Formats: sequence, C-alpha cells, structure tokens
Amino acid sequence: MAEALYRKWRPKTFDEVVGQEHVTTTLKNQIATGRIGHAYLFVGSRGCGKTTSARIFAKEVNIAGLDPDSPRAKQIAEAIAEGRALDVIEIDAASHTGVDDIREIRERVGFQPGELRYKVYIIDEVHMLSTAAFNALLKTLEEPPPHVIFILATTDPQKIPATVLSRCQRFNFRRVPIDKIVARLRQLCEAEGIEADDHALRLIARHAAGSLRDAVSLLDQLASSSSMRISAADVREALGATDAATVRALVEGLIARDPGAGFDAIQSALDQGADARQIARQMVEHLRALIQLKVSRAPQQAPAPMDGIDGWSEAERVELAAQAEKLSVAQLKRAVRAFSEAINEMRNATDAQLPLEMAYLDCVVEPEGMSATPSPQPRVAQASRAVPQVPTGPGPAPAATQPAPGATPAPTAPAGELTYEVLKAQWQQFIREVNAVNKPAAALLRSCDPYAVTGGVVHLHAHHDIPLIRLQEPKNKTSVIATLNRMFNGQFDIRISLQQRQVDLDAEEDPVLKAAKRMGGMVRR
Amino acid sequence: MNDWDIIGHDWAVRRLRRAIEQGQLAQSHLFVGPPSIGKATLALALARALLGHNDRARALVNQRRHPDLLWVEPADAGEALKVEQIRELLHALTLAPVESRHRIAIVNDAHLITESGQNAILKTLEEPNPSVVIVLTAPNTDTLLPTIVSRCQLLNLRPAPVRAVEEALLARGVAGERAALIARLSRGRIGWALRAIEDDATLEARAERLRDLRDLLTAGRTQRFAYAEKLARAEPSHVVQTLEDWLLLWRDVARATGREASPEALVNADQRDWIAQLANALSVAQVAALLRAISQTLQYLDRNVNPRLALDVLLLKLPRLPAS
Amino acid sequence: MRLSCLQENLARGLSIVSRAVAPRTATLPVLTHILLATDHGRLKIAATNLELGISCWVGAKVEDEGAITVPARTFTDLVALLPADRVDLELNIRTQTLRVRSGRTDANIKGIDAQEFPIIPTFQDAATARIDPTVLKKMITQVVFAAATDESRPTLTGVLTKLEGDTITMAATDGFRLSVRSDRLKEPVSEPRTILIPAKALVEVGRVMGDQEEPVAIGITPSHGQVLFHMKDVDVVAQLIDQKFPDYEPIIPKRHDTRTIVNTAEMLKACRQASIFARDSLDTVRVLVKPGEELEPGKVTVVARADETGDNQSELEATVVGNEIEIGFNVKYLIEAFSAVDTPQAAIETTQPRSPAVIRALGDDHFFHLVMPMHLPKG
Repeated sequence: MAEALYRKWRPKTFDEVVGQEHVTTTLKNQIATGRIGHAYLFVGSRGCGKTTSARIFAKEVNIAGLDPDSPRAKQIAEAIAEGRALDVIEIDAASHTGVDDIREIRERVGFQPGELRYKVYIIDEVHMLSTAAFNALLKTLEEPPPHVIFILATTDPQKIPATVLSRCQRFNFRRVPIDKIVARLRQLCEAEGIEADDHALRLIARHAAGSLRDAVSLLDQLASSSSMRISAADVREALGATDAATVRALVEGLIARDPGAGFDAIQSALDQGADARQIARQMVEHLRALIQLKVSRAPQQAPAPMDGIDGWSEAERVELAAQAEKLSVAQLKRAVRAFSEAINEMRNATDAQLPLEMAYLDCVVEPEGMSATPSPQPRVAQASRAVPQVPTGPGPAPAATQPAPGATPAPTAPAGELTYEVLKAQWQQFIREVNAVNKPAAALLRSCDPYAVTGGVVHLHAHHDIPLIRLQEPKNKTSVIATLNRMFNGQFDIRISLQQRQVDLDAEEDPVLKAAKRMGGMVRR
Repeated sequence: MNDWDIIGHDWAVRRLRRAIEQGQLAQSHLFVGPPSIGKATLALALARALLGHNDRARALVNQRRHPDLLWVEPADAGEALKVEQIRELLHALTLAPVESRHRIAIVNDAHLITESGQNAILKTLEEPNPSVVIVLTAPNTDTLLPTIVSRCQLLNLRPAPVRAVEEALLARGVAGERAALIARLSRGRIGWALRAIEDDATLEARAERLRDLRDLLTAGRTQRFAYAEKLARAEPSHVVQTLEDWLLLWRDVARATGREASPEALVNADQRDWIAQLANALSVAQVAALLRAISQTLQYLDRNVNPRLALDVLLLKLPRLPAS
Repeated sequence: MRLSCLQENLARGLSIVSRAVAPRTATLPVLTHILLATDHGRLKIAATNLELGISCWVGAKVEDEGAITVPARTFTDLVALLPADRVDLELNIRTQTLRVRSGRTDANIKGIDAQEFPIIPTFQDAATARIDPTVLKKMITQVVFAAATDESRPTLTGVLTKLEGDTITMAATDGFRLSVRSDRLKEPVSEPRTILIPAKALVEVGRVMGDQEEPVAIGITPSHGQVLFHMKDVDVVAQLIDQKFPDYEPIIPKRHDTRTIVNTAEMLKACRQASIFARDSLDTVRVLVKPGEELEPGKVTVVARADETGDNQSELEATVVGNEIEIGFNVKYLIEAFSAVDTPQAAIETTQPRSPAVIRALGDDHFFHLVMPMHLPKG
C-alpha cells in the first residue's frame, strides 16, 4: 500500500509551505520575537495548507530557542509530525461537535504540558461546532492558561460566532496560484522519479483550483496509473474532458440551430469516454471565451485563454472569432446559463447525458420556448459540418445567421445593473407594478422572496409549492419578466426554487457556476 | 469482461490491478458514477483482490461477510447514513486486521453521510492506518464535501458505450433486437441492463408507460386529470420512472426534429415511427419546453411538492394531437 | 455434531463468552451468534465482536464432531432456564438447525454455518510468554485506568505492552497522566515484542481470569494483529490497535526537588473530601507540601475551594525531604492514582509547580505513576 503523496510530502517547515508567505512570515516573526498569541484562526479553502501550517506552528513554538538540528528538536518535530506528541492535540470538530467535548477541553486546558513548552490544541473544521460548544470554547478563550495555544482551522468562517472571531488572530490562507502549484508538482516529480510534461502539470494545477492537495492527489493518481510519461492527454482522459472537435461541433450545431448535430456530437464524445459534466464545463468555458471576445470586440487580443495553458493558436483564434460573429451576446449568455444549469442538474440525475442534451436543446431553440408555431429551423448540410471550415484569415466571417427571433440585439452593457440589494429594496414596489398588470401573479409573488440576482437572472425563493409552480406558467412568468424588464431596464429572466437550506458555496468556481450551485444547492440529508 | 469479473470499466480494473501489483495502491478511494453503473461491484472486486486468499475468504467477501471488510451504507435505501455508523467504522479502522493483512472499508452511497459524518471521516481519509483501504462511492463529486474529494483518489466510472453493453447482453444469450433495445435504454448503466434482462417486467412497464403517454396526447382535460390523480397516488418511484421514461422519449423526438435520425441516434429504438410522427407534428421549441416541464416536475417531486398539483400542471402542458 | 454436557457447565461457558458477543445492530449477523464446536473431546464455545474474542472449553461427551453458530441471546436465555441436568445438542446439517434437549425440553434453534464465523486464532498460532496470574491482574489494575476513554486519539485508548527478556511492561496514558508497571515473566521471551492492546480488552482479561492459579500464557499472532491470553479453559483474543504509541520517556522527570511520603489511605481520604468541594472549580485542588521542622513533622495540605460550595482543607502528616511546594492537581486523577497504590505508604516526587509529579508505591519499585499538575489561577 502506498502512502498518499500529499501526506508523504507534507511540508515540515514554514519555508516549504507553498503560496502562503504572507501567513508564514508573520508566524515566523511572532515566534522569533516571542510574541505568541493564545488563539489563532486559520481560514482558507481546502488543501491550501491550514492544518499543515498549524502543525508546523505547534512544532516551531516548542523548539524555539533550540538548535533545530539538535536531537531534542528533531525528536519533538518528529513526534508532532507523526501526531504522537502528547502536548499537541488535534481535534476534529466534526466528530466532537457537542458541548461535552468542548467542556472536556475546558476541564483539561488547565493541565500543564507534559513534555513541551506549550500545549497546542488544533481544532480542525471548527465551524462544525454547535452553538453551545462555541460558548464553552469561548469561556476557555477568555481566560486561556499561559501554556496553551489554540489554533482553529476552518473553510467556512461565516459559521463562527463573532465573539469567538474577536478573540482569535485571523490568518487568511490563499488559494495557491497555478505557477506555484506547477513548481511544487515539478519538485515532487523529481523527488519521486515521475516523468510528466509541462502541459500536463499545468492542466493538473488548473483543475486543482488553488488546492495543492487536489493537485498532488491527481498527480499521484496519474503516476500510479500511467506507465510512462504523464501527458496532457492522460490528464484530460483522467478528468473525462473531451477534445476540441466535440466542443467545435456543439458550437457549430448551436449556430446552425440543429438539434441533431449536437445530440450526435454528445453521443460520440460520451462513447469515447468523455464525462458529461466535463463537456458541460468545457462548453461554459468556451462560450465565455466567445462572450469575452465579442464584448472586447478585438479578436486580435483574444483573451488569454480560459484554458490558461497553451493559449489559443492563431487558427483557433480565427475560428473563435468566426463563431463569435455568428452568435449574439444574448444567445451566448443564455447558452452559458443553460450549460451551467446542466452541471447543477447532473448532481442528482441518474443520467447525466440528458441534462447536457437538454441544455444544448435550450440553446438551439428560441428563448420564449412556449410559442406554438414551429420556428424556422435552418437545415445544415451534413458535409459542411463534417469538415469544419477554418477560415484562413482574420477577416470577418461569412454572413452570420439571423439572430434568434425574439432575442434582442446584443446590448452593449450587460442586462441592467440590477443587484440583489436594489431588488430587495424595491421588492414591494415591484409587486405593486406586477399587480397592475396581473393580479394573480402579484399574489403569488407575495409568497416569494428575492434571493439573488446573477447575470440578468432574478432568483426567487418560493415559500411553498403553489407560487413555485404557478409562477412558471407562461402567462404569469411573462408578466413578471415584462415588469422586471420595464422597471429595471434590462433583459431579465427568473428562476424560482423552493426555500431550502443551502450547501456551502464553493467560492472557487466561476460566478456563473457559483450562482447555479447556489440555486440548486440541494438539501443535504 | 476481465478477470475481476466486471463488465466494462476495463481501464479502471487495469488501473487498480496495476497499483496493487506494484504495491502502489492508494488508501483512500472515491468511485463516482451514476446509479447501477457498477461502483459497489467494483469496490467489492477490489476487496476480493485484497482479501480473497482462498475460497472461503472470497465467498465471505462476495457475501459482504468477511471480518476485514467493513461495509457501510444507509440502513434504509436513500436515507441518511448516520454519524454513529461512521464513528463505529472509524473506531474499527483503528484496529489491526482480523484475518488478513488489510482492513477494507466500503462506504456505499457516501453522499448520504450527514455533513457532520463527512467532516468526521476527513482525518481518517487523510491518514489511515497502514493496513487500511477505504472506498467511498457516490453519484458524482458535487454531492460530497470538496474536502472529502480532495483526500481521495478519484475513479470516475462513466457509462459504458452502448455497444459494449449490447455485446455483454448478447454474450449472455439475449436475442439481438432485445439486447440492442435494452442496451440503449440502459444509457450505459450495466447494472440496470442486467436487471432488465432478468426481469421482463422492467420492459413491460416501460411499454405501458409509453402507451399511457400516447393515449394522453390525444386525450382531453378530464382524462388527463384522471390520469394525474391515478399517477399521484402511485409509489413515488413509479411516478419518477414514468416521467423519466417520458423524458427519454421526448429526448428522442427532439433528436428527430430537423434532421433524419439514424436508429443508433435514438434511445427508444423500438418507437422509431411514433417518434418521427411526433417530430413532424411539433416544433423543436415545443419539444424543448416539454422536456423542461417534465424535468422540472421531477425536481418538484424531489422537493416534496404536492404530486397531484405538479402532475396536473404537467399534463396540461402536453400538446393535444388529433387522434389518429 | 452430536454431544451432551451439563447445563451448569454450558451456562458458565456462555456467561464467560457473552461479553464478546456483538450488539444486535452489528453489521455481520454472525457476530451476534455463538460458535459451538466439538474440539478434542470437549465443547468449544466462542464469541467475537471483531475487537474481542472469547473462547471457552467445557467438558462434554462428544458422539459426532461438528460445529454451528446459534443466536447468542436465544441460546443463552434457553440454557439459563434448563434444569441443572444433562443437555443434549444435536445439529441437523441440512437445515443448520441445532436441536437442544434436556429433561422435558425439546427446542430447535436455527443457526448460521460455522464457516462464516471469523477465525479466532488459537494458542498454537501465537508466539508466547507466560506470566503469573496475580502479577497480570495487578498490572491491569494499576495501568489500565490511565488510558483515554474517548476516541479522539485512538492510540491513547490502548495499553502499550512490551515484552523483553523476562520483563513485561505495561504503560497507559490519556495525555495528562501516565501509569507504568513492569514485572517478571516466567521465562524470558525469545525476541522482544511491543504491542498496543485496547484497554477495554485488558479489563475483560482481568474479569475472565477469576481465581485461576496456573500461569497465563500471552501470545501474539504472527501478523501482529492480535494478542491472545490463554488461561485455564478460556482464551481471550484482542484485536491490537494498529497505531504508534506516544514516546513517553521524555516526559518522565530525571530528578526531583521534593519527596513526600504519605499514608496512602489518609491521602486518599483527604482527596475524596476535597473532591466534594472541587466540583465547581473543574476538579482543581491545591496541594501544599511543607517540610518538617525540629519538633514538628512535615505535612501535606489538600485545599479545595469553590465560590458557591465553600471550601475545604485537609491536613495530614508526611515525611518531606526537600523544598516546600504548592502545586495544583486534578483531584479525580489523584484519587485514581492513590487508589492504584497498594502499599500502605506512597511517595510523591515533585520538582516545581509546572512540572510533572510522580507517585510511587513505597516498597514496590515496579509501579510508577505520573500526573500533570494543573495551572492554578491567581488568587
């Protein structure tokens, strides 16, 4: 059995901690000058080094003044690293949420350390404590004995009472930048004799979204499953990403408004082992690149790649520009939203293919999909799609398809500057306006609260199921949207969900995904 | 098929086998993939590879009764996995193996562990005893705390290609056309396909649900409400299955609008003519709206919206076609 | 399987193994069962919850060899109600049903195939050492109580057991105190071994040992996964904790400034009194040690104070060598420590208020207990 790489190469000194210099420098200074606090709060997303730094801090305060190479210092360091030191107590708050557990700590903080200078309590996932347990902890933090240091670590500082926060020195751990992750991965590769392409490491780092542990885990996995040099293709395969051809086929299908083309592209990508949610993610990225390109109106400076890896090649840029020409911003935004929502729907779907297909379909049809008359569906010749045309120059692309009927031309500014706060403040007024045109709809809105506004979508929380269902009826929905558009001067859409507990937001994803997640944030049983 | 007795997922088996042979097997694993795709089966095969030194041990693993195999799942299907179950497991994982050199913990449907349970397992996932191998299964990574995911080696079990499922069914003596249909309907979930060939009721029930849909499309309000009322009283799982079957059918209709669909492009390969007919009669937009409506109804049901209300609304959204 | 035995032997055997039966919520159904097997002309009764396994042998007249597992609860309840007479057990292999007959009783109990029962290692599998039962019992009482009872640090719920030469050492700590006892083995072991035995299992060993006079054999399975205590007619097998024990040597003070000798019983009494008053102050008491002067003997004062309850002060005479000292302790810990001292006099060795104190049984060099002092709030 192999010890996980991230565990094997867990940093043992502050200097080895990657990407948190702002924290480690301060902590080192405190130890050097002897100005050590009694309670620290380490905040940061997963895998960025909180617990590791806490252990290092516990070690450093206890060997301060000793020669780090002395047998005594080494022995202390080793015992702490292996979790065997009696005076360094790691508690995971998740398993000890109750007030009894914390009371036990309270009863025991009075004990002098046995071996070390300081008794260090590292409380991981501290946000999991119950309110009563926080109160018990607070009592301890109010009168900490001189020999005790508390280090609280959390991914979710919002859940920690202000009274506790105010007694802690807070350190914010940052997500580790891609370059630093790559550099660390490179070091590990050398140390472990793993061969890997630079592209592969960048892809890994990018996927890890600032979590060094995620990155090292993925490297570990790739190293144990591929026999030779790790390539970008290996990484893509492991992640279930599809190739550029699939994305291209989907976008072309979207331009041609051809349902079949997209369905077939999806089917063939899945048959080749791609992952439906990865395809959706790739679509979101690609479509966002197109939006950026359109908004900046300067294809030559096409943003550096969402992809962040190789950048777009000249040919790709030309292709992007051509695609961008053929789609309106409104259409692109709708598509981004559709695929983001698909990712969210896949959470609970038995069949991840279907949400992907439906998202594609939604992009293909006109926005107000309830119309009864069949919309013109340009048929695309089989051949023109089979061999995607790559124009040779940066010149304007061939005449664009007509913008979707019903879609407004791309506004120069994003639809309205409406924020949640503005909507919240004017909510009653808004209901009155709706009442003027549609009384039942206004009555239904009274059972809803505005919840968020993201990218032109107004999210509402329904108190019960009747407004939830009836506000989706075209007549009501149209009145609500029309009033929104008029009052706040934009092109809005609404999403309604039942009021429910949300799961933690994972701030690492892009804003669209975040909003989607927020919306679907299912109840965890 | 491979020598771990797993259909499909050859690459996953290869990867785990190679890791075991090289002594490089990670200690904490997460198998994700849709239901009935073979996550638990693969986890059990891994346990067999590690614990099954003789026939008795292999038999005990297969029955999930090996003393060094700790199998944890919700006591009632779909219900939460309690934090007490997790604590018991964590305690057991501090002890040495009983009969073999390993202790294997398989937490099936780990996404049903309560939030505090998920947090409680983090430390053990990160620093298990040397003899311990932990496998969690979940439909996808978004259903677990990110802190769990980042401590595991991820194995993403994707749906098998339709052709692979079809071949597996043919190999089991299922007649050609039936094998093709079941393979398509399975959407690559081998476990589903195997159950469907063993139990004829699966396909019959589907046929009936599609017949109902066909009737409803020409029916008036009264009949539709009567059907909604009847359906709302049925088992929740039956309601969900009905809507899912309908979804797949409309998905095919959407595929068939605009351009000719090859038989391979359709899931409901046996309904080709009807699908073509519907695709002619309706616009893509109408079909898309219907798909949305059905999937939204499924979400409502999942959130305990009154089923009768939700189904009434849905059935009124079905287009009305002339009786043929 | 076909055999007969006496009801009282069967009932006694069942009560011995009962502590190892898993609760009915156990994931493996067979763990809620008891194994009955013929073994060299006797009946072997065994139970295991995968942490603790107990096997027990009772005399029987075996006619056909065989084995079966039966639900522990049903079988134990039935046997308890049988007359104190001969019991006939007969297995129907085809239906895996055990027929139990005695007097006018005739019962059939459905079982589970014995093949499914976890293999409990036997004495032959294990490398061994032998120890006097009274010595082992004493070790258990003096050490086990210091182990942690909560699971937050699983390592500390174990008792570190070292076998080296002809010495056995047991040590347990919960991070705030440490109890260690070393003693003699009957013969030297062939190679040194160190294992971590769950404290709970050792308690069971102490219980099952009863008044046995024959030496107890201690065996460790080749995989180092289990420890086995082989007694007369009973084997206890415990699953070892598979983790590293803290290195406690550095905590043990190398010297002391004050050595205080007290009467163990008097000290215990003073602590018990103080504990009544210490409840509201997180069990903290002050212990004042004052060396004697020319005509006056030295003394120890145990002081407890609680804002609401009042205060209490008990004084006892002591022989004090060294400096005066005032030091805080958790009184519950003191009570447990002095209760473990089984000599009339105890020695307390201290250096300064922030350093560990050592408690010894005067005249018994094999026992040693260390307790961390408490921080005394000012005032």
